[in-house]
Amino acid sequence: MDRKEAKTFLELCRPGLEADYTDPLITEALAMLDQDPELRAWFESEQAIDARISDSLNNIEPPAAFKAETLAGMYAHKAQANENAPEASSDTIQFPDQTSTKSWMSAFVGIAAVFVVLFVTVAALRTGQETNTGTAVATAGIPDLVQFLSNEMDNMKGLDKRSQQSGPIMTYLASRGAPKPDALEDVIRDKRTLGCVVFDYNGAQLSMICFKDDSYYHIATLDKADIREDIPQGPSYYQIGNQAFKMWQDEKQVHILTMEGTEEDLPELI
Amino acid sequence: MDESIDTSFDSIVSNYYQPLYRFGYSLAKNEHEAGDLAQQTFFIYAEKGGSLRDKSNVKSWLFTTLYREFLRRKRKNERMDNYEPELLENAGGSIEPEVQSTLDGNLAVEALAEVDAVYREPLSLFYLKDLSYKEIAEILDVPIGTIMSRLSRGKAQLREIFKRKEAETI
Repeated sequence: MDRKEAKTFLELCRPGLEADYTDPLITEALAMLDQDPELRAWFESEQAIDARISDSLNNIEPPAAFKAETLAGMYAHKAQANENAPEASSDTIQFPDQTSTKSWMSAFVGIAAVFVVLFVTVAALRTGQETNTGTAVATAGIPDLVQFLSNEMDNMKGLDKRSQQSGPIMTYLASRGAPKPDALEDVIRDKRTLGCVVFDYNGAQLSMICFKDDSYYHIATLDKADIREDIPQGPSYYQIGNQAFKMWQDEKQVHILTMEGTEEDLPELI
Repeated sequence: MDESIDTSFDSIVSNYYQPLYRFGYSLAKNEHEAGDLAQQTFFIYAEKGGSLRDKSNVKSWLFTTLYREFLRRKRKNERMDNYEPELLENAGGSIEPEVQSTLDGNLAVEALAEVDAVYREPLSLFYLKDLSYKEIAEILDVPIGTIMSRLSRGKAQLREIFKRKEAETI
């Protein structure tokens, strides 16, 4: 082994990490240090700066409460996973907070969840959708419309119309004959927008406006006449991966507010 | 498999919350995202860790999960670039000023940020010193020989940048 080769192996030795020194080639390179003062000087210099970089990186400390919060979160996730495991129908749908939490609520939630699953199943059969077992389990409780929106967002390439103001976006949607959130016009008028996109949902137009506030969020709108499934009358919340969804309806339209995060992160628009 | 390995949540978190947070920080370059990545990793473990057959692989599994979660979010942020061009700069990991001034480790993170992208993750894991070369290769899904050569080239860059930054702070 010549000096150049030795340097190659010695570079792999991390200061204070014994495991790196066990390789036979590294051992051989280390042995050369006794016979080659120049190599030793180089190695010590390299080790010194490696130690400073490593110390610098390992001085990064999480916030004080990080460990406790993480542990608490893990138990909560575990509990939720256990709770949801037997019933695929109840593991994704959550109902909005109500002013009271009477005991009849839990029964109502259970019944409503069963109805939602039945509606989804019936709708899927009616529209001729093929659902194998895996798909059914993965999407149970999630309305087809929400799942469709989630899929489209995952695959979308860009916006059809860009604008930082809602006015031009509403005009654009109207010009395309796409649904625009009429009932929310006052609410979103002063919000900073990014633009909008229109999806083809079973032959109907599903529009989505993207906003940038403290975070990114989106409002999708579909005319109720184009809905092919029964959806809850009141606001309902869903979680698909890291994306939270809130769906509600007014007299003429169905709206979905969505953003990356959880139900608690969704902005209060209405 | 080592049957004596303690895989209780308390043990897992105690052993790995700091290295995972640091790895997350080196990737995301901000405190909030680092914490989010590390916690998300533990939450995934809470739900799926029970199915991990070889408990001795917990450490590699956690690092791999965090890295994949980072890549997933990065891809999503890059899609956001289609919405608005300047978003990539925001999402791409600029260093938060308040973090810069409060964390000693930021000098290394700053230096890492200036290294060619392909070398960053191997170098981060190398200097964190929690993993063997074999484990680093597995986590980054790159052959070990490639890891070695990337480390060699990346270290040369990083050392120069780090020394310059050290001199600037004096």
